[in-house]
Amino acid sequence: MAIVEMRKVTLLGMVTQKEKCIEALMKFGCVEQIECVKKKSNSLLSERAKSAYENFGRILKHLQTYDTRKKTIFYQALSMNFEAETWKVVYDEAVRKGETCLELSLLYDQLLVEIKKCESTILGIKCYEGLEIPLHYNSNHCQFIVGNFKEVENKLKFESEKIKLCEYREIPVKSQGGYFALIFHREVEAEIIEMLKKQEANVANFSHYPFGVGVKEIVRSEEEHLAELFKDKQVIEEKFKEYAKGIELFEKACDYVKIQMEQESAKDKLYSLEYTFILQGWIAKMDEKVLENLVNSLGVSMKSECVQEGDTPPTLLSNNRFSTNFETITKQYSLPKYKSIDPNFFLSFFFVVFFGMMIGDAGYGVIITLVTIFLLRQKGISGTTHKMVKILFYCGISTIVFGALFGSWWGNLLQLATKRPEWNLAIWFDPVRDPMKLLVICCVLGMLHLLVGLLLKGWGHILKREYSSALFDVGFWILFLAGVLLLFFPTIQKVGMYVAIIGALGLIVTQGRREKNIIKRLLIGLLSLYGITGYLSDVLSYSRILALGLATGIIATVINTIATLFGFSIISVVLFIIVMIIGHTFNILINTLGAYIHASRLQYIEFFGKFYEGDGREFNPLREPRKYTKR
Amino acid sequence: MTYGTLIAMLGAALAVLLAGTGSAIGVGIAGQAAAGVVTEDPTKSTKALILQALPGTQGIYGLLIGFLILSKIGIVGGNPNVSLLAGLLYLVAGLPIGVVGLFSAIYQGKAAAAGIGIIAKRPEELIKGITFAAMVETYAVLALLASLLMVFGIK
Repeated sequence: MAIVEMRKVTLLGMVTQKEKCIEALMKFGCVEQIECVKKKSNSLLSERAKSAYENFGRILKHLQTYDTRKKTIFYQALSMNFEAETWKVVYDEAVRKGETCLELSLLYDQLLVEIKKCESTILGIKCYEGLEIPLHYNSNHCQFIVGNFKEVENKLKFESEKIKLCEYREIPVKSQGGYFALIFHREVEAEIIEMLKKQEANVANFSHYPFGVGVKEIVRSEEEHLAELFKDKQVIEEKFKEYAKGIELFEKACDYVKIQMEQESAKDKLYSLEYTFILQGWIAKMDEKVLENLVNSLGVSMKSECVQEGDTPPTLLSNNRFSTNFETITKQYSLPKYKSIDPNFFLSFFFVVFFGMMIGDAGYGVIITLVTIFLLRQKGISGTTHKMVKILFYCGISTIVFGALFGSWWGNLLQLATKRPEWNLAIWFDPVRDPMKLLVICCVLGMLHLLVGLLLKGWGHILKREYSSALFDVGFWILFLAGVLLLFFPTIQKVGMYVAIIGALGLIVTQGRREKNIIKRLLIGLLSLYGITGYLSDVLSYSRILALGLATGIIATVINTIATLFGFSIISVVLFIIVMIIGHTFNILINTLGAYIHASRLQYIEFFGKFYEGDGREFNPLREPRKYTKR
Repeated sequence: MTYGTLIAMLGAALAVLLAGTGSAIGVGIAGQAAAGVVTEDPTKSTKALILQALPGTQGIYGLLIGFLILSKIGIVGGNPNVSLLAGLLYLVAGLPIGVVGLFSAIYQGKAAAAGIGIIAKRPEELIKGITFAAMVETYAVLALLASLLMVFGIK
């Protein structure tokens, strides 16, 4: 439950060790490099790696369609723990084999473009199929043009009849729009073009087709051309299928060049002198010793210092096995600043409880848990997805617990099945019968949540040695709020009143302490008590737990009722199953989304609002950027 | 059947139809934005779909209250016999989720459309877009709560 303490390390070594050092750091994967120099070297090596990476990417894009390896839900990386020499062998082989494959993929892309072009040409010409004379019919004296016009308000016929030495013909078509043919003497060409422009008619250009060939013949020859293109495409696809059997080779090589690119960019970021180099970076304090041994074995010296003022160290979180999954939820909001408070420990427990109550149906909890167990057992699940599924798994279990407490199993399915509509399954109480009780419980939970938030704010002040702020801004507020809360219990009402008054007086005296004028100071203090309305609305915001929890169970009951409306026959059994499956799947999906969003919101707005300092920078160490392989 | 039943059914109808109309408009607004983003980049369709679904909850809340009223007055599985006063009470109970559902779904739809704008440029910030849209839904949830408590409270 903490933000890991960082150390700034400076490595100094001989230039000859530079590459080995960077390679070792990338394998180690625990050092974030500081950019010492801002430059972009366009070394031959990095240019070559970049173009090789692009080429392999192009090849893989085509081959992945024909990948015959068994598909799993999550991507399974190849295991690969080679030394640099072996990598190089793989890379050379991939380059050799990839040469023809790359040519093929370029050819394939060209073919796709050509096919598209051919198809649109055919579509364009087919409109003129109604024309019985050839498309291209020009001579020294006369010209022949075809084109199309908007169907509405066509005055072409009327206008062209006014011009001498010209014949107009409309072409019959099946599709929308109108098509025409015009044959005229070259003398009137300017006039005709003017007229066409006025009437907003488009002239189609077919002059590249041979003289005197009919439309139908042209269409036929184009279609033949298209068929040939498709045949070529198929030939290449067959070859791709052949290559796809060896796709692993290209995947390995792709990772190899990507790692090389990363190494080159790491080299750009360090100070390079004639004989030595200097590399600066951030490392977690606990990894420091390991790093020292590692670089010393390479003959590189290391110096480490603590974080100075003005430094911007990255944030690395470290939590127990349960809470660490919930770091994704914090990250989706914003990472905490370095040296501020990591909320994940408290967030994880409250999140799971809120989520469970917001769904509040044990049957749905069972389904969520089973689905997440199934996903967790899949090979290759990793990273953020793994953490998210784990969160849902814990939430599913919490949903079962709260569902059992409130006695809801797939709505009222068990009551319906046993025909005992009044059967109360609740271990604790049924919120549908006593919603006020649950409303109070939700608000109390909310107060607890806010209280933890306030305490964390105080803890933050204490960490920064601002003891007065901790007492004045947090201590008095807690006294005041606790006192107001006690007013609701008749037996200890008096105690509550005194506690609230002490808290309120403390706030009035201290809240305006930055003002010099004594009257202004008291006025600001008095005004600060108005902040209680903020706490009131915060607490009421937790009533959404009740509303969402009730909604899930009641919608499930609605689905059950609709499903049983059809009576008892073979068709009705089929309908029953369909309604149940579609209805409950929909309900689970929409409510899981809703519970996730609203449980997150209660953390982001109500909880984080009290103390959180975001905008931390994520720890991003040098590591091998592998996509297809793993070590 | 009494006039009380008629008025209670009016309450159920208002809850369902106002909230449902709002959701239809809201989901429609968000859907237009989603379609625009997906034409540019089809891989973002799942993310856009999540945001589009957000304004749909008001319709569900409305249906929920409507169904509760119908089952309490005995239209669904029972013999409806409601006094005039009880009928009016049910009508009032249906109003919060109906009216608030109508407006909050429309505005949530607009916020969701803007959230879809976020994923067009920065798909990694999806959760922030969802949070902005979910802020609007708070008031629909509160209205649902009010309606629920009212319906449960009618003896």
